[in-house]
Amino acid sequence: MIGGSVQIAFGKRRQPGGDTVALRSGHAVIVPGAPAICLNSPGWLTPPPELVMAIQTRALLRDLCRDGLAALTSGFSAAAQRATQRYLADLEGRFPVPVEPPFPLFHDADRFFAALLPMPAPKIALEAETAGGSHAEADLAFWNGRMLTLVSFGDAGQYTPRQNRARDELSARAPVPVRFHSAPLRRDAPLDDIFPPDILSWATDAALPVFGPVRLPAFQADLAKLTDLGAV
Amino acid sequence: MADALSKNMKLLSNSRLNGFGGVGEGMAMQIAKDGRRIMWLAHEGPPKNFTGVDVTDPKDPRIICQTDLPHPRMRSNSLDVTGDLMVVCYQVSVPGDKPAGIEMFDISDPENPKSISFFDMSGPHSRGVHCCWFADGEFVHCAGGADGFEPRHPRDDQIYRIVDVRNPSKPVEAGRWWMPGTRKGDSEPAPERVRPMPLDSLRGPDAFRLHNANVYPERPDRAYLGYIDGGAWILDISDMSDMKVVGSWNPHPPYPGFTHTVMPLLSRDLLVVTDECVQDDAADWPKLTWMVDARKEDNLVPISTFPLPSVEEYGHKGGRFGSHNIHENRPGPSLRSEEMIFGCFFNAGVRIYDISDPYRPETIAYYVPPAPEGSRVSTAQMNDIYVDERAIVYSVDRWAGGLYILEADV
Repeated sequence: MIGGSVQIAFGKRRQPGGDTVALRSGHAVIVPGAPAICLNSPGWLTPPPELVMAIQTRALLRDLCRDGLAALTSGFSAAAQRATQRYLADLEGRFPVPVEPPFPLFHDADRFFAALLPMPAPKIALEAETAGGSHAEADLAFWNGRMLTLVSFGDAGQYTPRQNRARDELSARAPVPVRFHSAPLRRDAPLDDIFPPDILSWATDAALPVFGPVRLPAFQADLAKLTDLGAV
Repeated sequence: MADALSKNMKLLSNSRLNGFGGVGEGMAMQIAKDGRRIMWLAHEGPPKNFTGVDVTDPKDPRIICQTDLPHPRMRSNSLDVTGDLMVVCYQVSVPGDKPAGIEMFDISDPENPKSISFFDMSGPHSRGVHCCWFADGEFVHCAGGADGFEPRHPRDDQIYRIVDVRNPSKPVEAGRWWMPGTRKGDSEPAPERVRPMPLDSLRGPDAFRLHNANVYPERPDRAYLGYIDGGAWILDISDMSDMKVVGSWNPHPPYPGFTHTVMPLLSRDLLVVTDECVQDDAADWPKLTWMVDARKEDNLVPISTFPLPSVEEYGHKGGRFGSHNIHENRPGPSLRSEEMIFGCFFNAGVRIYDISDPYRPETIAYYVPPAPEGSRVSTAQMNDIYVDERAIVYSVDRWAGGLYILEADV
């Protein structure tokens, strides 16, 4: 909570046996009114240009998201990893990839990319010198444009007093509403118990599904034509 | 307690338990119907059986109940509590002696525990029950002998036994498993002894028998076993009458044996595996706490060990030095952290580790009490540990110091 914003570092941060070397880490700065952070939000994935050029289908674009999230999640965040995989599989089931090509500029299948981005292992910076330490933690974070949701696996008894103070501090002083959600650890727990319903339904409720985090080359050509016609 | 060593921990109180301050490895908390917190403790040996301590105010613990064993040739050592039901283990010194088994108590009136039933595990080759786990109110998982189980080696008598106590007045056996090769008549070869010991005493090391069995409601189809010199085992117990091995790992040898606890971190696919130091003066050094990668249950990989003070500094201070019990994240009024591990290390006291990087556990707090008056050895021997959901730490001395209640700033 620095300068009226919520600063979240997410993703795995250490390499085996090494010091605190960042392998891959995400960073989100949230201010009141900031748009939702979704799978199609720019910036969380930064694939090299040659990879982007090689992606010819929506299915591959989904794989890019899947791989990107897997790369951000520590191998020892098993519950978060399984939950994220189930979250994406649920989206896949609800919004199957259309037969390609051709495909229209906007397609219901692109609701997949409108889903909220699960930010793994978020560490949310607190003001310096708080009783709760320097940051609050969770297993996954979601930002829907109005509220920050922090999902943690296990029951409420998992936090030490310092961790509880950090969460209280975040709740009390964050410039945006913060919601804490305890997800069951059981592997067979229903998805509805792992994620709040509004997180799961976000993509369905999105007003206009938008293409993925990067544009397919074919799609870029379509856009160019539309631009030439003055439609965009 | 002026000369305790500490970092980020402070002593709130100490109860010498009416002068019977030798406590085994049974610690469990009950929230009584009137809201009191009762810490139940199993004693290390006779004459006492168990003690109940009201720890509602951790700065002012009060003994509310203390019971005696039927005779001095036995010990209780371990107990566990779910709701208002308590299980107490009975282990005898000589195979064939009695009582050897588990006793169920109704502790709804904590001042007056009422015996409900006794499940007999005596037998000509059985020393009864050493350790138990009772976290779901339905099944007791324990290390017990059995009538009809004849081990190849007399120290290998306590096998994994599951007792169905859904009707606590009539407990019945639900399943049993032993490490292949340890029973007389097994087709598998007998395991090679890790550190052979003379048979003048059956207690102690050189054993392929169960110590701890941990089963969690979030993963009811798995049992995590510390099988002493047999190492760590994961069993599929979805059919308790026909349990199957999923994976195992054993650092002994070359390490000196005595795997004690196998605790899964279910949200992280990791195991914390402890050895137990069982000899004074570092005679069996090193006894370690291991971090094991369990992402693939059938290929368990050790990735680190927890740091301890140097053996040069602690090994010859007196008594045992090294790993033993950890707080086991059990359900109930209990802290269930998968980022911090709370352990007791005999003369190295109580220690807390940050394991957010499992490749590099870090010590973040410790409390090493001075030797309690009346102890057999010249150090405190922290033997077991329990952490409630408020992160109040309870630990016990093996010989004389009784119950220590600590606050950790973590």
